[in-house]
Amino acid sequence: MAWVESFRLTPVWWQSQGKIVASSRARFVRNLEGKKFPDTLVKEERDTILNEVNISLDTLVRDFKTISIDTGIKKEFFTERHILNRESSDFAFIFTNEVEEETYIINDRDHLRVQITMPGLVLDEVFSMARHRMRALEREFNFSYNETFGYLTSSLTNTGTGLRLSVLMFIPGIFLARETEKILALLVKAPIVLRGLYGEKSEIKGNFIQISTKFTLGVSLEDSLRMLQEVVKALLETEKRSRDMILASARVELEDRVSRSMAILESARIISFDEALEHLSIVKFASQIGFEGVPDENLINKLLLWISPAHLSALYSFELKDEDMDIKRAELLRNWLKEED
Amino acid sequence: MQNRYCEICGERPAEIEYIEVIRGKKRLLHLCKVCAEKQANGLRILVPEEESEKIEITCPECGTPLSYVKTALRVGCPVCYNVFEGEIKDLLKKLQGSSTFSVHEDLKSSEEKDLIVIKHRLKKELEKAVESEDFEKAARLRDEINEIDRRLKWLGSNPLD
Ligand SMILES: [Zn+2]
Ligand SMILES: [Zn+2]
Repeated sequence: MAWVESFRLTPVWWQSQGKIVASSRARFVRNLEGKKFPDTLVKEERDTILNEVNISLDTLVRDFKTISIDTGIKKEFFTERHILNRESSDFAFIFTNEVEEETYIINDRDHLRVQITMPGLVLDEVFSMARHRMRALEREFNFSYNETFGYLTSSLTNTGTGLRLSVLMFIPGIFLARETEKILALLVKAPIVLRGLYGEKSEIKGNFIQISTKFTLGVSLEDSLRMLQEVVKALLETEKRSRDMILASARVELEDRVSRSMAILESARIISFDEALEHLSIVKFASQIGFEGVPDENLINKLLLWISPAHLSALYSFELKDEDMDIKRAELLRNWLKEED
Repeated sequence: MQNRYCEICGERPAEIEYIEVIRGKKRLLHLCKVCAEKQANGLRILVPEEESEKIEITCPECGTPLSYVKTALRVGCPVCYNVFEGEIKDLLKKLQGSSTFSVHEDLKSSEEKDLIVIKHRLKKELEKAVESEDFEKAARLRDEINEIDRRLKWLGSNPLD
């Protein structure tokens, strides 16, 4: 499958992600005025929208790669790459720059979704960049808007500004220190939405969480940004405290867990995605706090992406049988970890 | 309800719901016509689902029914927002704590701030590009920074735009 060739590399923002705040994102959704939303359009109508948007994007931005999502495996692959999500439509079209930090998705649940993603805690930057791009797009298109509801979107969770700001956080300290219950209780009360590693409808695993702004009505864009920044700051501090606590009071226990995880990753012959994710996550933590005998974090991040089902299949031209998946995953881990020594 | 067999004979498909009362306790049985007739009162003929459904309001533009909007929290087109305006306001109130878009903002008002943030980032990238001797990238970044400077200057001289 030739399309995979353009997505052979691990996106830089993922590979060199920040330590506790892995990445930041700003996303706007918009629909073209006077047109039904993608879910209720027939293919010809969707194609008309695609052409219209595509031509404008071509003139606005350069060096882009495009891909049409017409199979389940593609949808999964780009969900693992954090471009689509579990709620995405079956006929989205992706327009993304080489490093996949600037992405336009056409005909997902809305006509247009603009996503700016960057590594680390850079909410200001992604937000400014996204607004900058929206300004250019507003000169090109008339978007569906009314005085009562603001920008009209297919999901009522986006109605109004259509903006969502989010961060992906890696918080093993909080999970290991059993601070989770306390934190989750706090997050439930905060004006944010808590999600798993792959965003919408995904479970929390691998010590990753995604938190994002909740309100798109009655709140200014700047206020959404501030609300999220406050929650992130509080989480960041708790995570740092938890890490210090673990290192001070349970260092040997942690070293034990890390050694066991390394042993499994380096010697397993069959390993599921969830198990591999769990062990890689512990090893990633160890790498961040400077433990000896664990791989470089960049390699771990790379592995975190390529052990996921669709990416693993992609390495085998999507000809991998279900029963061979866990065997090939173990093989990949052994080989890539060995290469590092 | 489909593919279910009669709970008495177990042979014929169940088509009737029968409420059995034994010592004051109610129990629901699914029976075939034959077995149901042998029982006393408490019969209720099962109505096929399509018929039992109430007539629903749908959007004249895209055909999306109100029940879908309520359960999926999604609409099918901009017209849905007019057709279901009252219901959507209720849903938004629950979902977002607000039912209308009260903060009307113009993206233009924040342009200067955004350009300064972006310029700052581009400058950092430029330093890195120079450091790693990627001169092609450095040249491109310089162009972009110049472009932003021009725009900032223009905005500065046109504060009301
Ligand atoms: Zn019977
Ligand atoms: Zn409609």
